[in-house]
Order: sequence, then structure tokens, then C-alpha cells
Amino acid sequence: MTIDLIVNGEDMKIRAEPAERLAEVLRRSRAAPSLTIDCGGGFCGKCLVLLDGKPVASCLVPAFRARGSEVVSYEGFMSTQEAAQVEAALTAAGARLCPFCKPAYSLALGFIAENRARIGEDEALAIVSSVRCTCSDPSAVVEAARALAGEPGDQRASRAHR
Amino acid sequence: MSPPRGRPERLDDFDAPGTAYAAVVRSPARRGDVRAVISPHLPRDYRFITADDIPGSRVLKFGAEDIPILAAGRVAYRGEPIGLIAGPDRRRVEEAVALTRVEVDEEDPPDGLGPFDSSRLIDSLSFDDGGTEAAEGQAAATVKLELALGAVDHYYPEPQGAAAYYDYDKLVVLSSTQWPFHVRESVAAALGVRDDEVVVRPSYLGPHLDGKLWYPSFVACHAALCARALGRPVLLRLSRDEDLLYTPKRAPFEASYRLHLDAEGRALAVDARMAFDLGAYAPLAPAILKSALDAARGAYTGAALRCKVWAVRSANPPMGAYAGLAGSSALFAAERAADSAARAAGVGAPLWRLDNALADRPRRRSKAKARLARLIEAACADADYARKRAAYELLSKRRAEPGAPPGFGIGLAVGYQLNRPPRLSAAHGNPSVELTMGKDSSILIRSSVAPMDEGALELWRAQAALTLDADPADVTIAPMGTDEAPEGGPSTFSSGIGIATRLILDACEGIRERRFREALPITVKKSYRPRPKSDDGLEDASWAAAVVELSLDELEGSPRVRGVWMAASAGKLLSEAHARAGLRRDAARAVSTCLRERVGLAGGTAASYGLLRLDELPPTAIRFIEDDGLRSPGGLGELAFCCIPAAFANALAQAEGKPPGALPLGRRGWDEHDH
Repeated sequence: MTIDLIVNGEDMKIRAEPAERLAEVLRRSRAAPSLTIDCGGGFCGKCLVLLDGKPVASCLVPAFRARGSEVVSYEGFMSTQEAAQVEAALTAAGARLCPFCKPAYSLALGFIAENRARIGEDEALAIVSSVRCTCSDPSAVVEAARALAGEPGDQRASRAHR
Repeated sequence: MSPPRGRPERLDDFDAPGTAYAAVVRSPARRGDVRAVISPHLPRDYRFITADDIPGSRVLKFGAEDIPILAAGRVAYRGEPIGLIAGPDRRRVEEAVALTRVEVDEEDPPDGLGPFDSSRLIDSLSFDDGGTEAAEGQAAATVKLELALGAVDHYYPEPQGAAAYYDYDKLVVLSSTQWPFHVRESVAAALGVRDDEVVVRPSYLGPHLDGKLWYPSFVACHAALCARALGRPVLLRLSRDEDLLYTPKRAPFEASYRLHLDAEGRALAVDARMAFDLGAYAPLAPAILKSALDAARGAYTGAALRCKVWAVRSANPPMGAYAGLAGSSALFAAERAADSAARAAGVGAPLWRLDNALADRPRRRSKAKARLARLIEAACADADYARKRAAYELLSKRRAEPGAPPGFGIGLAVGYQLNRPPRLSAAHGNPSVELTMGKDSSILIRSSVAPMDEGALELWRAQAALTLDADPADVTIAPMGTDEAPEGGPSTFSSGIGIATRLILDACEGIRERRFREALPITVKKSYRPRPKSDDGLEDASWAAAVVELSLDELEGSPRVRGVWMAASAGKLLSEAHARAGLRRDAARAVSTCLRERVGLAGGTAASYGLLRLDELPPTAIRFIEDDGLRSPGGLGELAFCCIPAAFANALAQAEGKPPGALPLGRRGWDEHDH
């Protein structure tokens, strides 16, 4: 079958098997080369994309469900103004991410930055916690999430052990 | 055949024209004779590869172990590779594997570390300095513990895999490996070619916890065989679930530990028996046993020692190293015993450790002793250990009262990491570096040992630039390919990184001495030559003390870690920020491995594995102690795993009022551990 969808602002027609997941289709079509398919069960979050503006584990989304939808992957995210904010927050927090999780964390943090007016700190933490990777200091990622969610810097400093 | 585009960091980015995909056909049975392998009819471009198709050595040789690259006739564990299916379409390959039936006359092998006879014994080591027998008669009290640690996964960033393709006359293998030269030798042997006909290029490794020492060689052989059979590039990557079920884990461990105390509660002697389930094949058995035996007393070197350690064969997948072989398991036992000894002696845990650690050497002569004292004091001060411990003791006395608050506990443990890289095999080379300053004053560093992440490489560049008054942008570190780096053993042991850092600094000094007297280019080579040492290595080891505080859930009784405090001393820190981030990362994993990270060896998925989420991790404080005794950088990669699990168990013992069961605890906190 052929699926029409918008990926990173471009109209795309992608061939897909009935049982294929969105993650597989995006990788195979090279529409999202940075995407990592790891656990394949929605557990690790490394396949995170924005589907119609919401972060989803693309390995859990049947490809046909994305018909007519808009998908933003890391490649598309990097051209947004939130990308610079996310990069700055990660750098300020000292987070060094691996190539397997950086796209997913960046998208999750970008979503937090874009929606900081309506989501609180707890929800921000839950969103960024949907990605699990063992590559880096987790407290640095949490600090970046709190900064992007709008928590004042002195509150973050007093919360964290040093 | 065209080579791949670029040099991919991730195996899944391997992208050569005509790439085929491979997957593994595995044994469904734990042990038995293979009666039949029935595969579906494969299209023309697909191949089913078995042991009969291996042109060279059919086994992966490591020490005394011969590990079948593809099992033939008999299988030794569930998931053991029997065949490979490779072809141009990944989905069809996976379907073909799923449709392949393997029929085995299944046996019922004994499980785990139950009573074992000599037929299951792989190897053993024992030590007796003669003092324990006398101490048994003199002891005023004896601490007796039965301990168990279950299998946990390394959960590296990328599951195991390899890609292989021919580049003219050479086979190039892309492998996520700690030991590129072992991959090269293994693949060459399997293909029946010379070592120089195989080139290995490591892909991104990341934190590996020593889970990619030898198994990548196994997977690389599979990919290479498929590339040879198909005559095209092949990518073979295990799924995360496959990796969880079938690749090496931390070896399950059981110990019977006796610590004899004198009338003042001081450690007199240790009598320990420790057994490791190393699975169906145990290539690291000698190194694992030695590391456990060396750490059997932990920091309490004033005690006499009688110890026996066994490596036991089972029908589990091969088990092995975890954050530095098996020293952390032995240290866990020693620190649990130390806590019980403190309680028996009626003194606080910090004071007992201060009195008994490194008691065989005078304080004025032992910088390690002074260092450890400062670490214990720092960790306890940061955690407010003394006040909390006393308060929680009072609470525990009220445990049986109606309406009593749930249990709280706080535990202390110490640990160390030797700064002498272990030798895993006779062919295991020593760390070496080669530093060249070119005519344009650029600097090229070639090292047989390399840190696992870019941040650490940046530190090397910065140090070399600082020493040679150069721009860090002009310093290049050669990749770790077998055609690029000096030959050596495992490239990423934490202790080896410290040695390589020293060698680089020494090489920089060598260049600096010569640069204005000799014409450029200048090359300086430095190698680590371990001198036979009669000491135990503890004086120049990296040390740490950790405190873990936890509370028990009111309803379930499961523990929630409220905080972790670590004080560490690892010699010269090139970047405290980088070292702190690394220890925080490791501390988070160490806590996670105490809780829900249980490997269901009978079946399980990544979703059921239990890796903690970011929002479940406790706040963690790390403090570094300035060290006047250690001028060189030491290793840090094992420290968190050497002390946090024991500190966790000591805290849990206080909270529950009884010795904790096996770790990890499992989802409900009270499940019996199953091997």
C-alpha cells in the first residue's frame, strides 16, 4: 500500500507493508535516517517522533495510521527555533548524548520547550523520561528538561545534589 | 562491490549498495541433540548457512574454551546459534527465521548454581594463608552470610551486531566491540584467511560495562560468513530482545561468607566460598575467578583469608564480565559482611571500616588508608549518615507497632578499582600509544586503548595541546580500526584508559624534549610494561565510599531510593565535570541493577527488563577527594558498581530488619531470584 503523509514539511508517498510500523517505514524510506529502532516495543523511546504535534514511539504506530498525518523527525526539528534552545539547555546542563538517543531526547525536549506554557514540570519530566538510554548522566537531561519547562535556575540548583 | 557510504557510527546506518541482511536461527532447547533443522524454501538470493559452510575454524577460541560459531549436532543453551539466514530483504529474512523449525531431543540439565558435581565444574581457584583455621578457634563472634546476585544486562546503547563487506582483497568488518584485534583474529580464523586480510573498524561503543569483550567477535564471524556466502555486504544486528536473552550478562553469583571477629569486634579472618554461573561457555572463567579471589577480603586486608571460588557450567547463555570482571561481586559480599560485623561489634559502620580497612599496613605508610578514611568521612558527612542511621534504628524498633511508619534505611559501603588492566588471554597485548608531531606541527595520536566517548577524547586532545602548546583543533586521535591503531588487547578497560592517558602525557613530554633539537616529523612511542608486583595494587587503586538512603513503600513494601552520595578518589582528574557526569551515569545504573533489572533467562523482553526511568532515579551527589598520593589519572568505570549495590543492600537490611534477599529484587521486590 502507499501512504501519503507529510514528513518534515514535505509531502511524501511511502510504500508500506500492512504490518509495518511507522518507525520502519521512516527508516527504510530514508525520511528519518537519525531515528533509532531499538526495543521495538515502545519501551526505550529512541524511535520518538512528533506525530501531528505529539511525541509518540513510532515503533508502536502502524504505518497506515500515519496516513494524512504530519510527522516531524529530528531532521525536521533541527531547523526549528526550539532546536537551538534545546542544544543550549543540553550544553548548559553538561549532557553528552549518544547518537542513539540524542534525536529522541532532542524532540522530547523541543516539545517541552514549545509547550512550556501549558505543561508543568511533572509532565515535562514524564515526557523526557519516556526515553531510556544508559549513555549519559541522567541528571543532566533532567536539568535540561526543567530549564526548558521554565523552572527558575535557582530552584533547579537547590534541588540537585552537588 | 562498492564500499559503504561514509564511516557509520551506528550499525543500522551501514549503507553499502546491495546490502543484504542476516538473522540467526537459534536453538529452542536448553540442551540436547539436534534432530532436524527444517527451513522454508528460500528464494535464489537467500542463503541458509550452517557449520558445514564455515571454511576455517568452526570454533571461537578463547583461552581453554572452544565456542562453536554455529552449533552442529548438539546444542548447549537456549538461543545458541545453529544457522544463519541471509538475503536482500530484511523482513523476508526475519520471516524465514521465524518459520524455521529446529527439533531437539531436549535434555533436562541441572539449573543455576544448585548443588553441582565435577561434571559442571569449569575451573576453580583457592587460597589459604593458613590464618583462618587458627582464627576460627579464637573468634569471639562470626558473621555468617549467604548472598546472591542475579544476572543483569549491560544494556549498552546499541545491541550487538556487525556488518561485513569486501573491499578489494580485504574483508572489512564494522563491529561495536571493545577488542577490535580479537574480532580480526576470530573472523580470519573462521574464514581460513590471514589476519591481515581482515580489517575491523569499531562503530560507536558508548558505556559497555564490559559486555562487548568477546561476544562481538562471535557476531562478526556470523556477518563475515554471510558476506562470504552471498558475495555482497551483510548487516546482522540482534534485536534488543535477542540481545537481552542470548548475549553475556553479569554472571549469577552465590557466596557463603564467614567473617570471624575478635573480642573487640575486629576482623580476624575471612572464610569465603563463591560460585559463578558462567553459562554454557565460559571464555573469561580464569580472569573472573582471579578477580573474585583477589577481592574476596575487600578492603579488610588485615584479616586472614581462606577462599575458594568456582566457575560452574550451566545451560544458560554464556555469562561473564560486568563492570570489571567479577571483583564487584566479591566486594559486595565483603561489604555486606562488614556491615554485619559492625552491628555485631556494636560500633557504627563508618568506624568499623576505619578500624579494619587496610589494617595490615601502618597508617603513616599507607596513603590508600588515609585516602579511604577521607572518603568515608566525606560520604557520611554529605549524607548526614550518622544522624539518619540513628533515627532509622529508632524507627525500626517501632516497626511492629500499629500505625508505624514504613521502614527507612541508610547504608554505607566502600569499594575500589585496581589500576592494573587484567590480562584476559596470552595474546592480550599491553596498552601502547604512538604520538607524532608533523611538519605542520599537527599532532596525531594512535592508541591501542581509547575512551568510549567523544568527551573523553576531547580531554586527550586538550591535554596534548596544552603540553605541546598547540591548538586542540590540530590534535587528531586516530580511529581504533585494526589498520589504524597499534595492536593490543581490549581497548576500553577503564584502568587501561588511565594508563593510556599517562602514556600520552609521557609521549607529549618526549616530543617536547625533542622538538627544538630535531627536525619534524617526530614520533614517540610509549608502551605499558607491567612490572611483576608483589603488592596487592590497593595503594594505587581508585577508591570510593557510597551511601544509599531508601524508604519502603507503605503498601507494597518495595524500596524507593531517596538519595545516593559518593566520594571518590581516582588520581589526577583531567576534567572533574566529565568525571562527575560519568560517575553519576554509573551510579544511576548501579541503583537500577539493584531494583528491577532482572534478566528472565527463560524468556523476557526489553519492556519487562526494568531499566529505571529518568524520573525514577534518585538525586546523586558526587564528591572527589584531592589526592596527593596519585599523580596519574586512575580508572573510574567500575567504582559505582563496587560500592553502591552493597550500600543499597545495607540500607535495605536496616529498613526491613533482616538480610535482604538476592539482588536485583524484581518487580514486586520479593520475588525469588531465578537463574
